[in-house]
Amino acid sequence: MVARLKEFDCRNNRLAQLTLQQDGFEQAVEEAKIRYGPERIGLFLGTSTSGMLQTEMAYRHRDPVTGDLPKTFNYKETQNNFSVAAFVKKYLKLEGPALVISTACSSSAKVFAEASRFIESGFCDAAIVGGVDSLCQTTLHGFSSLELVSTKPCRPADSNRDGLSIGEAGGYTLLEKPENSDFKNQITFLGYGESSDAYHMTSPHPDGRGMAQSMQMALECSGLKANQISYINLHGTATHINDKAEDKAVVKIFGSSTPCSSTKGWTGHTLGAAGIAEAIICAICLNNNFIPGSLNTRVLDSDFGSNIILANRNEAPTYVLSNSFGFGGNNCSLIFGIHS
Amino acid sequence: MTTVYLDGIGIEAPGLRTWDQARTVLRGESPFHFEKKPLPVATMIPENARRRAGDTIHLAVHVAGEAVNNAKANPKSLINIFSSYRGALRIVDHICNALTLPSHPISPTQFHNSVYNSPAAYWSIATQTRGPSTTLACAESSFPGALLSATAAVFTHKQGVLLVMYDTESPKPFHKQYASEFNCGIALVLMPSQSENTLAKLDINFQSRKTEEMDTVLNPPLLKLINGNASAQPLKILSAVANQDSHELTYDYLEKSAVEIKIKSCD
Repeated sequence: MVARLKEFDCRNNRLAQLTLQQDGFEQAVEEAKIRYGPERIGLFLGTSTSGMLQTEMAYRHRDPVTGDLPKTFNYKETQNNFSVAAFVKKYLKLEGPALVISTACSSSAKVFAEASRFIESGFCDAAIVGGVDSLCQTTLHGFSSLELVSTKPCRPADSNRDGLSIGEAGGYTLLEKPENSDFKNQITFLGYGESSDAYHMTSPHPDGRGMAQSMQMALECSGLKANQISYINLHGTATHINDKAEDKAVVKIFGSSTPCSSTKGWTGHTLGAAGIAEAIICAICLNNNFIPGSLNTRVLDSDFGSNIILANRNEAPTYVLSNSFGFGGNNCSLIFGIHS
Repeated sequence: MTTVYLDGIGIEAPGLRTWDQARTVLRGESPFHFEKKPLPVATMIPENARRRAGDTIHLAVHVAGEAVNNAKANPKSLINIFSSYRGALRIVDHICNALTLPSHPISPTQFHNSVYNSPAAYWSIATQTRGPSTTLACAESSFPGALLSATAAVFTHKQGVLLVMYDTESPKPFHKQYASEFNCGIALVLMPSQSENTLAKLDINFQSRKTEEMDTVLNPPLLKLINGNASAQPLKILSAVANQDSHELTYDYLEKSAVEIKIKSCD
């Protein structure tokens, strides 16, 4: 951790810093600060567990008599859910609005919708959106208690799939209004949909009711028709019930021909960072004329009706849709394209 | 500057049990007694789920229900925005204790109740609301942050928003970590246009510099609530609404910025 921000030191914020230092992102932010002013750039990050691992470790070192947590433990700058945004805001010296969205596995997809609303309302002119989620015991044992963790690397949409593989990730993107600079051939965020299942805390509605609604809302928001989407990056956790419900929802909105795949065979399920990780995968696909196959999937579930592709394709997608669904039936779909 | 209309309020805090009762206290018509009481039971949650729900869920759903009733709004027509400084810290305490034991005995219920958006999820299940639902956090600035988010949602979608703030009394191990000293939940229903149910018009603005605080409306015992729980911050707005004041106030938002609110009573 940089010395000036060492009070934020924890696994999640280390990952946040490591991610900031990739791909020239810091430089891009510095340039944006000159264009807009640091007070006009919003910061919207997603995380599910933030620095929870820090609290778990502190509990192993409680005072045996008083039960006090160790004096070195700093709840606010590590475990608290806003910690990652507080850290990134200080690291990048931003002064605009900032918040953390925590809606489990849809967290860092919903930040795109949030940033869009803040820009539309005039609270900022540009935004950094992203997410960071790191491993902790709560997630590992929690998902295990629900019998949702696979015994092998996860196999999305496979007839023998038996659960997810937990991953960790960080990612950021800089969102700017298209009129503000030369956006020809740049990746464009075109629309979002958000919905609630109103069904169950940990199981999606079996018919994918809320999932279909979120994809439909994203289409309406972008002004695109279903047949204009050329690739769907599925939530595809490889749990039995998620993949089945999502298949029904995709068939309902898109029919059986749109190519789709989950990339969680490549990354694992990065939970609160899954939305941003998969948004960036979609951007890579658009920039490189690529559609990824579903890694580790051997035999497709014969009940499935959607067009899940197993092998990578060197094809140019025009518009892509990415799904992220979280506990509590919290759904978000995003649509990206290339500005022509 | 963006305008929203405040149509309904729900509250649960020490000495403030409902909006009707809180209004008389904020007007100075009845005395304020700081008194901690057990949390209300959120009877809207189906009985099976209710037994498994934790403290933040009961608190948030209870005040949300009161605000929606007072606004005479259909919850299905509202976008949900829930916010808390600390989330379900009592469950974090249970889980972290369990993780120190050899078998790591975490129950599935504890795990899903520990998820930050669990109160919003219980609300959507209880009311069958299927629209957008966001749970967000900004530490001690959670209320001004959530108010900006709600205002942006009202403006963008031309739809009403249910904004729910909730923080429960922190468990003992966190008492030395800027803890919440008591339970407080406050819910607001914010609409895109004025109606016969509107209590006040709010003009809301993000300011990228600190402005002088203009919040002398609360008497010292009530300020104790704001200082002891981040989710009590809407009390400044509630006080202006109760007194049918037209009033300007500011909230510190993060380190260098502020959220400015112009309140005009419509009651």
